[in-house]
Order: sequence, then structure tokens, then C-alpha cells
Amino acid sequence: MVHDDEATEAVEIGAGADGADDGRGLGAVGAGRDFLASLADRLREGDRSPWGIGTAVVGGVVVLWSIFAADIKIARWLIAGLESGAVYSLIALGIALVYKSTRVLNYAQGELGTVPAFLAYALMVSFRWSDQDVINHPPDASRLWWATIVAVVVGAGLAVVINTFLVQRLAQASPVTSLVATAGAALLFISAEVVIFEAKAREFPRYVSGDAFSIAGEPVRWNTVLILLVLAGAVVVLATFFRTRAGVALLATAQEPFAAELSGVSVRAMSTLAWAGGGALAAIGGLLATMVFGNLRPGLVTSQYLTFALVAAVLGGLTSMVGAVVGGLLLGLVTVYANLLITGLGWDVPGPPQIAMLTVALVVLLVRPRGLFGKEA
Amino acid sequence: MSPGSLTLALLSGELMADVVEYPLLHAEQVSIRFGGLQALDRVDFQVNDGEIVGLIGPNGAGKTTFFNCVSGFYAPDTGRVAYRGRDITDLRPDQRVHLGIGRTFQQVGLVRSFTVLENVMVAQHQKVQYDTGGGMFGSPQSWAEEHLVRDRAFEVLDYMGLLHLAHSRLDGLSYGTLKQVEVAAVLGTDPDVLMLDEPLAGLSPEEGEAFGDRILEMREELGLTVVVIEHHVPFVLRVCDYIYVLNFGQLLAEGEPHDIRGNLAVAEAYMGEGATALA
Amino acid sequence: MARTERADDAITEATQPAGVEPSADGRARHAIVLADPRERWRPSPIGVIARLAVIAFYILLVIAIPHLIPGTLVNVAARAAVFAIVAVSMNVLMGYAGQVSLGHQAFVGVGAFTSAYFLSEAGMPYPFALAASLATGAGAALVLGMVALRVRGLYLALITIAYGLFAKEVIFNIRSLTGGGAGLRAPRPGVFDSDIAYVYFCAAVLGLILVFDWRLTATKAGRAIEALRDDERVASSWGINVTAYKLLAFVISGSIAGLAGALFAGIEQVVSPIDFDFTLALTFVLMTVVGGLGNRWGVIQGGIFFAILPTLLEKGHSNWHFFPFTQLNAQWEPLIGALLLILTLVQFPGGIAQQQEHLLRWLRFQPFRADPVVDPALAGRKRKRGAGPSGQASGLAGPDVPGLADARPSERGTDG
Repeated sequence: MVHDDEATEAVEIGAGADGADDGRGLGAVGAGRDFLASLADRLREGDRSPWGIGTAVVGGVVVLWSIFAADIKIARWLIAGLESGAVYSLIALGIALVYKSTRVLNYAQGELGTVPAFLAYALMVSFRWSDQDVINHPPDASRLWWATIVAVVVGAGLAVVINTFLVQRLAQASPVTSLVATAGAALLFISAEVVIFEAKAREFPRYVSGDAFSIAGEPVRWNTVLILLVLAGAVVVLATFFRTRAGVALLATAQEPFAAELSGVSVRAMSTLAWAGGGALAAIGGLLATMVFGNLRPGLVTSQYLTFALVAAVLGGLTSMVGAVVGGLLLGLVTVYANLLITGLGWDVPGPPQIAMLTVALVVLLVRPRGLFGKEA
Repeated sequence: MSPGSLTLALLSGELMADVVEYPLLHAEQVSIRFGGLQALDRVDFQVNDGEIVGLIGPNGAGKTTFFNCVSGFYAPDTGRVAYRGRDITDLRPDQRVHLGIGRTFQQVGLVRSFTVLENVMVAQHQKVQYDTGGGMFGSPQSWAEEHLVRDRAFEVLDYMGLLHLAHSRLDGLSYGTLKQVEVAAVLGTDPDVLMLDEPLAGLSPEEGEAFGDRILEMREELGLTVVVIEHHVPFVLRVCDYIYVLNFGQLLAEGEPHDIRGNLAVAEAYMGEGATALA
Repeated sequence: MARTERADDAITEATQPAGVEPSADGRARHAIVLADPRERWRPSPIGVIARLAVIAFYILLVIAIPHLIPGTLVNVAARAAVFAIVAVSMNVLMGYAGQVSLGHQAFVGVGAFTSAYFLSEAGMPYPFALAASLATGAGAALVLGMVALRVRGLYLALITIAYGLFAKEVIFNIRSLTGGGAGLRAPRPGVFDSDIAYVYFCAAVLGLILVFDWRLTATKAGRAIEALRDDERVASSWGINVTAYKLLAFVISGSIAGLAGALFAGIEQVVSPIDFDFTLALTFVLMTVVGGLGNRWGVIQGGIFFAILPTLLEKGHSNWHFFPFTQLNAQWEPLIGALLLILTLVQFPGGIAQQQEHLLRWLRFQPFRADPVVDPALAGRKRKRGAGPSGQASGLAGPDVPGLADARPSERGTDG
């Protein structure tokens, strides 16, 4: 997978750079262990703790009970959960990639999706998006495919711009300052969208329509299939990339920027690369998110997906690509479960997905801040 | 001690703690492990009232880790730390300050957005009696005490010869001066035992010499007990009454300066490069 | 004793007439403060009068403004006062304690709904509703503060984002308490029912909070909170209970935000969940950062600016036919705000307060220009280094003290 080959090399590069007298910064020593072994370790750790077993048992019983009590259709749950989870995963992948390379939590990741989606929209309506024009010339779905390519390229470009003109200039500042700066960039994008496209929802065509097949009587839409395929594609591309020279250099830079610089890797170029990748992922995620909704409005991805994607990234461990994918899918399943549960029980509780999301965030950060696959707190 | 005790000490030049049968500071079998590294391995350590004790050893020997265990920043895996016979292993750092343990940091431990004066004022935190509400609502006591805190800060700065820098911001100060300001701030907490982590870093040889005199003077005038981590062996041999040598988390040797001086050759055999750095 | 002697020398040098003992280093001579540092600087009588006049002018301005602006815009003045209070609240948390909050709209909203509920649903008297808002704001912040004890930095920021979204979508949509999407009515206190009177009421609360904020920073608790912002280890090595003071910062910030929420509800006299979107939280963050983290006078200006900016753009667009107002309308407000935020972070980290450094110091009855105090040891070092290659390394903190050479985030308002 993507994460297990993570730079045994980088650790070796870093080994000489230890200057500190004492301290707890020794976690990196075990970083080279491969993923399966550490998973096994983790299971063993869990085995030892009575709390772990207790929680697992109680949780399992509650879930089983609730599935009957709330009459949750498992197929529906899985389909809907994986669909929204896959979007979370795509955005979380970008967040994790950017965080890994520059230690910046990118709040603009959502708008790096919405802005390209708007661009694709503008291309489809031949840049005539005022009300009158849209009624006369509805979005031309035949242009969607090449509009997508332009949008993804622009998403990558915008991310690089943010990195070069904002994040790199704040390289000495605290991570929180950088987060606030990217939040500023997000706000900038949102209001630019409002100024140009006005604060209202616009019809957005889908790549594919209709049902693909059905599982246990539950129809699976082509749209859902597409989203999952895109996610799988992104994972394959990233996994391949991290086996190339550039990919290994990127991992090495993430681990030990100073040592990497000494061995001739340009830290700046690597951060540009990571941000470009993050931007492209954001654009893809943004387009798919728009298709889940079927329409587009300013701030869409930030308000509907970003917080969930951030939580998903943290659940997966922030620095781990595998973690981002697994975290996103898990969070999708959990939020849809919460929704189905509360509607099924007929309770009048607002915002079940948000309740689930905050609960997951709190549990992860309080119990295991490094997430499922992360190596550091 | 009462809020004015430092003043008193400065005036009388004499402030010895009550005579007790316990050693001032006593660490017993302290061990701590970070991941795969045994940072401290069953370290025994004792400081008596009024002593100046040195802690030496090569980089990574666990000296600062030991300081962190004594001042409460790390909880040792095994072993106890006692202060005047009282077990303090489970106390928070701020509670240990209340008992009279003051420390400096290897990398200057100051509040960098404060002026020199403000640093010494905030360090007197535990000497201030009024509470948060009193401060926010401006109780008469808070106004009166604030004057006292300020005066005391000036007094400490004067004692350290830093009065002229009172209103200076830290970014204008040399590294050596910052280390002095740090000592002044710790004196503001009114400690009985002062733990100094590499106080000579950034000082010239003459300044180091002078700082040695200053430590001896502080013991006389303020009745302080001092524990000092330092790489500069001649300094340690000159100033300290008793010396502990740490290596790879283990106590390699201990004794009075002349014993340790004789032992250095042995130490070299154990430590290789490290000992060369020591000598 | 070489160090102290040298320092003493430097003072003697500087205090003696120039001709007696020429200093080898002019800079050190110039920089030494001649007066006893223990004495507080006092302005001349004319200086006192000038300062008092300027302060009186500002106070009169605040009193006059509700009468000077058109009646339809008086609510904007109340909004400005409320945003200024929120800015003070943000400042306690972000500026003093260094804890980021990207979900502050949650605390303001909790306060707003609490007050609206007690006034319109439970029929309680206004002071009770105000106190309840304060308490629920504090409670909500305390919960987040307890999380902040275990979770730091970016992770805490993430939790605040999630908490803000949670509050908006879940807490503020509990129909029995908040009226759901329709919202709740929030009447004003009887005596201050008119728009103008309500402005004065909000301004008075702001004034009161500024006094508390001033006393906080000038005393033990404020110092402790600011110390732990810079370095928790150092703070606890000086006997500060980091846990307690961090929670205290959250509680103080939350109480002020809750109070601000109660006042916020009274502006339009109705509160609904959509008022507390994540963009509001971002506005709160950027007005505090643009104002100048850590400086109360800076942040309240930031708050006031961002409260009136949308109206200013709207009115400017329709009334003033000159650039830039011809091009801009209220939709541009977040864009301008975001640009200001980025400009502040990249170019002027101290925000508005840094730009007004001299003025603010002068208004605090201190000299307009503060002579920097230079470490004579450092001056000596520099001299030595110039003399030959054998000189000591520069004294300024090296990589050992990360960030020490950074610009100070802002001028703190400890004395006023």
C-alpha cells in the first residue's frame, strides 16, 4: 500500500541529524516497521486492554440491536455510507498529502474543489452564467469531460499559488497561523464565487445517470459507482507515485526536510508537488461532491464536506494516505449510520451526521490522537 | 516561605532552611524509558541543604531527563523523588515550585513576548495572594500586591545586575544575558534549591568564571542549594561540593571533585568520545 | 563578577558627561536608559492635557455617533459594539492564551439562544437572561477547554471547527429550545428599547468588559495566561498551574462571548440558527487577527471595522459615485476581509495595533517613542567581533531559542 514503504530510507537519512540531548522525539525510530506488523501490534495492544475489549463488545451489541430496532437496511447503509465516505476520502487524501509534506492543515481544501467546479460550470455555459443566459443555454453536458480536465489542472494550479504566496511565506509561523491563513484563502474563494456567480444554487450535470445494478433490492446509482471508481483510481495513482523516484523524494522530504535538502532534494519543489497533488484531488473531490448534490453553490464543499473530511483525515492519522482513505470511508459509514438510526427510531434529534462527526473527532483525539494509521500525535 | 522572605534573605544575607534529618532532595532508583531508549536507569541522587552539586556526562546521557523527573515534567517509570523527606513523585511541576524547587532550561526558559521585568513579575506567581476575581475586579489588595510584586522584581534584577535592562524586550538581549535573566526569573519564584541546566552555554570563559563566583555568592547570601548540569568540567570541579556522572542513563561515578578528577581516566574508558569532550 | 561589573561600567559610562570618558561604542551609550528604571515615566502637564483631550474626544465621539448617523443605521452601531465585545472574547483566548478558536460562533450563539429562550419562552427578567447567557457561554467554553487540555494546536483548531458546525446544526436546531429554523424572539431590556438607547447599553457593556480585560492583563491571572501561551513548560516551572489557567482563559472568553450573544440577539430582536454559520466564525477570527492579536485596542477596532464594513460597502455603493465604491457592494465584504487577513499574516503580523503602536502607547500616558534598551553585553560582543575573527559569536539567540528573534506579535496592553 501507499504507506508501508514509507521511507525506511528517510529514516536512515534522518538518523544522523539527532541533535537533541533528551526528549520524547524518539518515536521516529520505529517508523520503518511495515504496516501489517504494526497493525498486528495494534491488535495485540487492544487485546491487552480490558477497556478495548469492553468497548468493542458493547459497541457491537449496540450496533446489532440498533440495526434491528431502527430497521436499518444494511445494503442501503453501505451504499450511501461508501458514497459520501468516498468523497470525504478524496478530500481527506488531499489534506493528508499536503499535511504530510508541509505540515499545514489546509482549510482551503474544500474551496479548491468548489472553485474548479465553478470553472467547469462556466466552461459548460460558455462563460454566460447570468440568469437569462442559463435559461437560454442550459449547461452543455457534452463539454463536461474536457471541462473536468481544465478544472483539475486549475485546482492544482490554485493550490500551488496558495502554497507559494501564502503558506511558504508563513513557513516560520506556527501551524495554527498557517491554518488561519488557509481559512482566509477559503473565505477569499467563497466570496469571489459569490461576487461572480451570486449566492444561489445552480444546476450541474452529472457524468453518468441512472442505476447501475442493485444489491439486496437496493439500487446502486452509476454516480456512486463512478465516485468509488475514481477513489480507487486515485489510490492506485498515488500508490504508484510513491514508488517512483519523485514519490520517494517527497516522502523523504516529509520525514526529514533538512536531511533531504542535503541529499539534493529541493524541499520547495517537493512542497509544490504535494500541493499540486492536493489541489488536483480537491478538484476531483469537488466535482464529485457537486454531482452528489446535483447542483453547485458558493462554499458548497466547505460547508458540506470540509469539516467531515478534516475529521476523516485525523481519524486516519493525518500523515497517512491509507488512513485518509480508510478514515473517509469509515466516517461516511458512521455518519450515514447515525442518520439512518435516528430517522429509523423516529427521534426528533437534529443533525445526526454532525453529532456522529463530532463524537468521532473527540474520541479519536482524546483516545488516540495519532489516528488509526498515523505515527505521531 | 512568606512573600517577603527573599527580601529578608537579601537584607540579612542569611537564609538557611530549618535543620532536618532528611536530605533536601533525594531521588531513588529513578528509571524512565522512551520507546526503545532507556533514558534513565535506576539513578540514585542526593542533595543536602546548602550543597552545590554537579551533574555531568556526555550528550544524551540523561541529565536533562533527570532534571525533568525532579521538577515534575516527566513521571519516572519506576523510582521515587523526595523533597525534605516528602515524596513528591506524583506532584505537578507547579506544586513542586511551591515547595521550593526552581529550575532553568537548557534552552532559555523565558516568556519571550514579555519584557525582562514582566518575566520576573510572572515568575512570582505563587507569591501573590489575591485571586483572579480580586484581580479582575480590582480589589485594593490586588493593587497593593501588584506594587509589591513590581518592587520585588526590581530587587531581584538589581541583585543580578540586570536592573538597567528591566524594560528591555528579550529579542534585544544576548544569549548569555538571557541565561542571567532566566536565573533572575527563577529567583523570583523564591526557590530553596536552584537547578541550573547548562548555565554557561553562550557565555565567554571570563563570564563563565564570573558566573561560578555568582553561584557561590548566591549560596552564601540567599542560602540556596544548587544543582547544576554543565559540560565545562573545570567549572564543575571548581564550584561543586559533590559530583554525579551520568552515562547512557546510568550513574557512572559520584564523589567529591578530587575523586571525580581522578576518575576521569576511568570515565574515558567507559565513555570514549564523551569523556574527551568532558575533559 | 565580570558580567555585573561590565553592566555597571556601561551605566557609569552613560551617566557621565560625554567628555569625561569617551565610550568606545557610541551605540551602547545612546541606548542606555539614564533614568532609574524603577521610576515610572510621567508626561509633562501639557502632555497630560493633550492625552486627556484626545481621550475625551473619543468618548464624546462614541456618545455622539448614534445621533449623527441616519436612524436606519443605528443598529449597525450596536452591531459594532457587539462585534467589539466578541473581539475582546476572541482576544482572551487567541491573543492571551494562544488557543485558537475557529468555532467561536458557537459560544456567541449559545449566549444568544439562552437569552432569547429565557426572555421570550420563560419570561424571565432581562438581568437574569443576561447572567444565564454568560453562564452558558462559560459552560460551553469550559467543555471545549477540557478538550483543549488534551488536544493542542491544529487538533484543537479542528475540534473548534467541528464544534462550531455541531452547534449550528444540532444545538441550535433543537426545536423546543431554539424554535428550530424559525428562530426565537429576543426582546430588549425595557429601559433600552429604542435603537439609540440600545447602542448605549451595548457600548456600556463593552466599556465594562474592557475594564475587566485591563485588570485581567495587569494582574496575576492575565500574566499567567500569557506566560503559558508562550511556553507551558516555562510557565509551570514558575509555579503556574497550566491546566487551571488554560481553563480559566476558556471560561473568561466563553462568558464574554455568551454575553455578546445576548446583546447580539437584541439587535434584530430575533435569533435563528442560520445567523451562526461557519463564515461568522471566520469573520470573528479575521477581525481579531487583523485588529492585532493580544492588543485589546487593536481587536476592538478590528471588530468595529468588520461590523460596519458590509453596511459601509452597501451604502457607499448606492450613494457615493466614485471609485472604489462604484465597483464594490456588500458581497465583497468577506473578500476584502480575507485579503486584509492574508496581508496581515504575511506582512503586518501585529495588525492594526502594530500600525498604531506609537499612538496607543502615547494614549496610555507613556512616551510616544520608546527608546529601545540595548544589552551592553551584546554591544560589547559586537565590538569584539568587529575587532577580529577570534570574537565571540553573536549574542542574539541562535537556533537554540527558536522564534526568539521573531517580531513580537503585538504590543501588549498591560498598562492600560
